[in-house]
Amino acid sequence: MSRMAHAFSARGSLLSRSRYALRQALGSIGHAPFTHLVASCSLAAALFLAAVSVSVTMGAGALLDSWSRSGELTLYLAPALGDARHDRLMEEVRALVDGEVSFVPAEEALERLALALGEPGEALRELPRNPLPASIEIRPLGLDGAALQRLAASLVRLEGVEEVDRGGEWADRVERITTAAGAAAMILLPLLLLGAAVLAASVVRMAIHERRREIEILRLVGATDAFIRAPFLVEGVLAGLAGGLAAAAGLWILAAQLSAQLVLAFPPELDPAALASPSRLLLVIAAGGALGLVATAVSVERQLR
Amino acid sequence: MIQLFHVSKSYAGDAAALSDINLEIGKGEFVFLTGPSGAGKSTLLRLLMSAELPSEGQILIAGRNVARIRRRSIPYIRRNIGVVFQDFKLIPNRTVLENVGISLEVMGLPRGKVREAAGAVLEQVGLGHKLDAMPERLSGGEQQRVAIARAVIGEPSILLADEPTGNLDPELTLEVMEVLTRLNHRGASVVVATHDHALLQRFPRRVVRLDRGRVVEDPS
Repeated sequence: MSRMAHAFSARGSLLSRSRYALRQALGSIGHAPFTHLVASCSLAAALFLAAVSVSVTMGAGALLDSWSRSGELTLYLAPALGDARHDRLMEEVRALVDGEVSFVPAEEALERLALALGEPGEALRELPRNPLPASIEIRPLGLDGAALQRLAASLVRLEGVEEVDRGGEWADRVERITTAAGAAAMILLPLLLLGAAVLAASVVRMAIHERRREIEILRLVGATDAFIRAPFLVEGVLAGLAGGLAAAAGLWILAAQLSAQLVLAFPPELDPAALASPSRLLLVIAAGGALGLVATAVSVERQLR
Repeated sequence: MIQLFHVSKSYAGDAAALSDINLEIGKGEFVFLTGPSGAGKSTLLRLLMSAELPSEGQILIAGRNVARIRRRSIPYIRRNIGVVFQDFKLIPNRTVLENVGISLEVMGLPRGKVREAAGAVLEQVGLGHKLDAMPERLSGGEQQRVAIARAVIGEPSILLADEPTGNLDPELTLEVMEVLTRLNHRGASVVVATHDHALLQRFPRRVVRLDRGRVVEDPS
């Protein structure tokens, strides 16, 4: 063994090799900044779209779940029934339902809507006639979807009840949209992420091609495959992290814009602020790094074989 | 230190580059490999540095059969063999100092020590004033000395040099031979391939003569 190798191989620290890999990777990025920028941008776009669609799909799923768990029914009553009929209806409903039953006068319904709409809702208070009917809100205990449907069918037959709303139509619509969006995401997102990863891998492949003479020389002076591979892997991770950071910044901006500009309050399950929660942003950045690492590792392995 | 038993090397469609070579080079020995162009000198050096495998025969380096060694072990063998290539093989986008230091960097030495050692060895070959120059800015002779500095910086136990004085004037040839001799005096086995007869006369050492891939003269 050479004296130098003998003196230092035992101490040949991981730190020195890591610093070398980082120096070489930064040098390579500085040498071709535009190609690395393109790779990072494509990773950023893929990660951004993935994060948005996953958030929307998960939020819509949670919303549907919450709706199905709440099992609320609203009975819209015919206008001008009078207080006596309202009281009798409340008694008839209580006889049929085990759970919470409350009467909502037409004035209270209008007030609630005005509050939900915020500033534009002020106009509702100026209307000459309240267009909303009185209603009865029901929260039955321990009923599944089928039992809820049977209860709704019996309630709609009560005299003075015009319509029973169990949110089913909305829930069905949201579910259909969520299912379609989920299916599209399942097909498109892997393709999108794969495309971005292939682009990142191509950048590294070009870098390897440009440095093939250097790689040959490194091998001849005793570099291991790991030593040769490390700078390229660091390069991939850095490009991925940059893409992840850009995607996280995009999500943060989108969440801030949605929260500030949309007047209607979102249900908590679809709160745009959740898009940019710290854990989600960290996950996006880490996913970028991981994607860059995996794409580069595959490319380097094939090129250096 | 180096033993070759019935080593042959042939390439598809060509005549054998080496045929039935038997050779033994001891620890601390200085050997010139000579012969006309195409005699097989460079091929023999490439086999010794494990850049290629022999078609037949066995090559033992410090007792290890490099013809049967696992691929992952080759870098560790090469770290003990300094090589001066005929075409220098310098990395174009790295400075002289970085080119020389790379032999130590692959071993994981800290950068400070690498730069210190590289600076010292470049002083020895007369290039202390060109540490930050790029290879393309150097003359052929200077590039050759950078290649020699890179080969000797790790104080290898074996040094292989392919025409190391081919581009040098007599004064620089002397300096380079002094560097090789110094390493040899520290116990390294040195094998120099050359067809420079003046060099053989000026530095009398064991001379192994090759011709058409065969050893035709070996005084040992």
